[in-house]
Amino acid sequence: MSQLIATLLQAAFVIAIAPFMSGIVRMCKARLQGRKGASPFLPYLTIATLFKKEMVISEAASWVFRAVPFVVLATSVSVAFILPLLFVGGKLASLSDFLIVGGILMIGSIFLVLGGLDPGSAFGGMGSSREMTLAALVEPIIIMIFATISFVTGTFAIDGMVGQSLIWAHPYLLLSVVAFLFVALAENARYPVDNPATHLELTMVHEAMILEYSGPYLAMVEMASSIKLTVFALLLSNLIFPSTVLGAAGVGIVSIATAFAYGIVKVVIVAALLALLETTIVKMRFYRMQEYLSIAFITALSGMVVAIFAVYAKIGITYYAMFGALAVFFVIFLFGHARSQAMLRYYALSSLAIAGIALSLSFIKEDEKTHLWIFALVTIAVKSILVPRIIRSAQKKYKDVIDPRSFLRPASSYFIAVVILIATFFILENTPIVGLVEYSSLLYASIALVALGLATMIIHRNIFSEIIGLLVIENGIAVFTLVTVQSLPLLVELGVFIVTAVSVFILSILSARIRELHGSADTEQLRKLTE
Amino acid sequence: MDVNGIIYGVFVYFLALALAAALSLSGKYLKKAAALFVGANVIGFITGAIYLARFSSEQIVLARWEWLFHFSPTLSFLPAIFFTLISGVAALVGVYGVRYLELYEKTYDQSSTQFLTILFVLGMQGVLFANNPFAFLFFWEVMSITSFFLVMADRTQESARAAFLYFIMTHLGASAILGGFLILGGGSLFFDFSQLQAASQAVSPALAVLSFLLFLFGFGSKAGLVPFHVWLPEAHPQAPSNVSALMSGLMLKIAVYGFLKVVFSFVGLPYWTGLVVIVLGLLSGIVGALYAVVERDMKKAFAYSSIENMGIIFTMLGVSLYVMQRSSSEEVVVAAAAITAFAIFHAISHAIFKTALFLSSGVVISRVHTKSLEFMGGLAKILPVFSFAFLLAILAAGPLPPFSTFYGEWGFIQNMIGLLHVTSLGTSVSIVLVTTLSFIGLIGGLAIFAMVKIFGISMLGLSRAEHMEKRAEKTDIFLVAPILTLSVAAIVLGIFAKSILASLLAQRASLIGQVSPVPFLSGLSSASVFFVLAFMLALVWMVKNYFAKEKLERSYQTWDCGQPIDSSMEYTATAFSAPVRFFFLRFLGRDKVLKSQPVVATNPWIRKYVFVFSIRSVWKDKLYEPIAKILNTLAQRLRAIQSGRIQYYLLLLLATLIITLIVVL
Repeated sequence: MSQLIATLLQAAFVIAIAPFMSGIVRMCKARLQGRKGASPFLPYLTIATLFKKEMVISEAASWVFRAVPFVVLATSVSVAFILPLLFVGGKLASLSDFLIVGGILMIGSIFLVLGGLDPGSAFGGMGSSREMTLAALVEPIIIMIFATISFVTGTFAIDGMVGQSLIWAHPYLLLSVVAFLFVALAENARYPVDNPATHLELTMVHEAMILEYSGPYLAMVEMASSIKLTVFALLLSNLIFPSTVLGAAGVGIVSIATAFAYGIVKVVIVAALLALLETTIVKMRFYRMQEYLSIAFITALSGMVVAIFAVYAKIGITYYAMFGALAVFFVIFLFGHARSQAMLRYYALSSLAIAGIALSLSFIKEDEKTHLWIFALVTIAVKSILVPRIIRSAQKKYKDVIDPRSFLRPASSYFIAVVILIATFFILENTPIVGLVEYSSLLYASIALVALGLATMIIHRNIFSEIIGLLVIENGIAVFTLVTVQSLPLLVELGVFIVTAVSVFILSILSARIRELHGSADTEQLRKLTE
Repeated sequence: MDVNGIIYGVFVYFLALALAAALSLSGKYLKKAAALFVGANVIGFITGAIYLARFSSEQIVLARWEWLFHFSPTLSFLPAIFFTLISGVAALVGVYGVRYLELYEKTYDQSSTQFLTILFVLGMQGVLFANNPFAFLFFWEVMSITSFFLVMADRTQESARAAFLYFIMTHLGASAILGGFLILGGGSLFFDFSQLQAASQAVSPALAVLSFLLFLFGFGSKAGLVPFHVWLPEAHPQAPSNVSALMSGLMLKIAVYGFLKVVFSFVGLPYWTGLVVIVLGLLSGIVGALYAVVERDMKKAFAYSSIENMGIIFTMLGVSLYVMQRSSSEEVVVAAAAITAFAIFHAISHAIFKTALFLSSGVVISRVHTKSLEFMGGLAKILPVFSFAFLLAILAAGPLPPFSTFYGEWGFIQNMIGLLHVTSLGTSVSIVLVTTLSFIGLIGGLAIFAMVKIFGISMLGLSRAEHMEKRAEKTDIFLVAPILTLSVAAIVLGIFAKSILASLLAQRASLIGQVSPVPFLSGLSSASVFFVLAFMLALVWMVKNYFAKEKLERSYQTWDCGQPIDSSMEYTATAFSAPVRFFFLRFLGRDKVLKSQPVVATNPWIRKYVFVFSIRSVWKDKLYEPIAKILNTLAQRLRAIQSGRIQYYLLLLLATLIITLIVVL
């Protein structure tokens, strides 16, 4: 009985607070942009007014147009009933299988798309086409994210996933949560995927589809999207802070009040963060969505791969493995970017992760503690700070408007990177060295770094990118020595760092000179022999 | 009713089919023959259902005809599933066919089309009852040849070309299957299927692999696996819509049945064979889904969607084979058996919704007289009931709850995640599973895209058709009723998915000697999914009517920015799929030409634009045409010995004779 009450209360709460969520996002955004903004309670009034208004139905529309608001709202409401938003273990908890929830949300998207197509206007068609593309391409990401979480927790129901402390016990699941954030932004038509504030711009997705709706139907569709936003906000925060979700069994007045209070706090905080995000980033061009979605997918996939490694290594928390994965993960992004500034940023992050490996190893190898600490500090100083600076300063003189593009598009290069990773994995698995080394997961990371560095040099055309590729290879070798050679004399290690820094210095000066002499940093332009 | 009842039922079924075929050939009693065909299939469906409900653990030998090439028709669990499915679907297609052929009496020769259709169904059913390779191949050929003639039923040049492509591919496939059986039987075609397992162990490993590859090609080409798929999008759409429905909905399932029956009896294949099946399956899935998204011919898009679904089914079977080859621990074997059960369930769902979709395409095309999506639209207003049934079928085609299709993929994904936990399988298996998982997700997403595109462009918005037949929906009631029945069947199957799957799982488990039924990985109840969704819909409807009681609405044109809009400004199928085409351009070929020239030479601003766009098949360009070229050059070389003089050929004959004698002696 208490389960039923909990479920009903949760749904009522989510439905009641949904307009407030939309309102508060708008208000925070207005404040951040220096405007005063409307009251966060305005959407309630809007919906109430819309319910009283007359509807204008397009002459071209068929019965599908009329069915759409009902189905869309019904899917949102079902999700509010099913998912563990305030209470875990509610009456419908067994339905919160992630494929079911994904499918229900998909039905909502499909009907919105049909509603956009039915009046026969080009706007609706455009919005529908884009929404459908996003919905289709988000599908594998959702499956990958929840497959990872379900693999770790051993349950297929989101209810069971929220019931366990996930992130704190398995830090690598943070990757899945980040990917889920990407998905949530795309599903709710927020920045950088869609601009929820525009009307009649070519940028829009969601608003274009519902352009022909008016009166009560519009209110229903708006309500549905508010509920969906609230559901995602609550679910995301529940995945990170599972202790804020109360059990549905034996709810009393106190626990209901606590749950509501938690719910309001979460909604307000997520709304503020969302507003902050939307004021600091720009909307991406729609045709760059493949990049966005590839990044989301790769993030989700990395979470899965690390989870599998963790299970095979049979270690609860292996921080060094996580850092190794992060080092490779950042290099994948480096691989996909064409601008050398962005590449340097990811190189610095990847080096930082390598320092993290050394630090986490220092807790395992007690006798080498000081050595590893020095290694980590020098890595940060040289590779994360000094080397990027050197290259940047060498480049600074020539403000190229456009960096030479790499031979591959970003999205395809991400997938090439994944193929390279899989290939290195299979090659390594059949070599005898894996068994000999203690930290085999790091060995994979080092070989992957070397392979990716080489591939970076192959696909990029900027001579500065070639230097970065070389540096990535060097990073791979550094990880390799960290794993295999038990204790290198400190002097030799420091010497390697100095050599790295000096060679980067020389190479970047040399590249800058080449750039000066030939007027281009594009290796395609530098093919001809000159005197 | 006892076992004899089942036997009588099956015999009555086949006799009635034969009688119906004979009647329709005579040409006089077409309607009666069609009714007999439907009736026979209803009997078949009931018989099959009773068998499944009551005697599913027994294998019934219907007769023993040693004199007829040792043919003794046998009914067991797996064939019975397909038998019931085919009878049920064929009955509905039969109802549809009556009105459909009436609409197209000028295009198709009614009596021969009906005769061939009935024989076609007879062939498919015969394959299921075959107990030895000879009978199997005999009925397989009946099925192939009748469908070959049906493809060119409208006797146009285009159909004939598609039919010959089909003829070549299907016979290459059939000869591969023949070869596979000959290897297994040591040159004999009359061994019983119960000896398959022993036979596969008796031959040497290399020969076993060879026969596996032959079977994979044979069944795979029939199922339209990439890269043996080129015939499918040509041949299936050319046939009359009711026959397309039978071909895509049912004939492909016979290929799945054959693969399950034969390849799963192999013992001790190397593990890369499972991997090959997975790769082909995923490739078919992704290629099928992508081409279904970009295709502008409605029936071709459905045909590509069939390729995609066959890809998913073969991926499931491949994963099952692969993990069984990697480990024989109990949990792996159980999961592998469970995956085959989900594959069978997906095959059943596919048969239902794909038949509904092809039948729907027939209704649409009968109204607008074109297969191109670019000239459709606006049909939902004229045909509300039909559009509802069609929409249900479209939703059933994507893996969406509460439709049955969803539960097949659902179980597959869950079992894969479960298999990831089995550390004894090794990391390379994990990578294969994770890759499969992500591709399955992508295929599902794209499949939904393709289906929504087809429905949205063909049924909604303003009509782009040059002339649309606006006759009342009532006249086509016999076209709409079967589609509605099939769509509802997809939902009903979805509601009872859990219990149906439970019995399927138990059966598959008993095959591998597992007594206790395979447990479900999730405590989800498929019925409650449907009822919760239905309840929510009703709730929303009631609440809306409570708050907005009076119906205030007015009809007005679509918002048009001040300039009247017409159907030429609508989004077309090409435009709708543009983002996906852009994102996956590498995997799709296209020809895009934009020419612009001034209308008058003196004024550069007023220009005339010509835009030509077509999707090319990368497979044809990169794989088939080079092979054709090589064959052509070889043939050119061989022409050197062709002089055309008869004495010369006789000389060659003599030379061959002498050489043979030398070799033999």
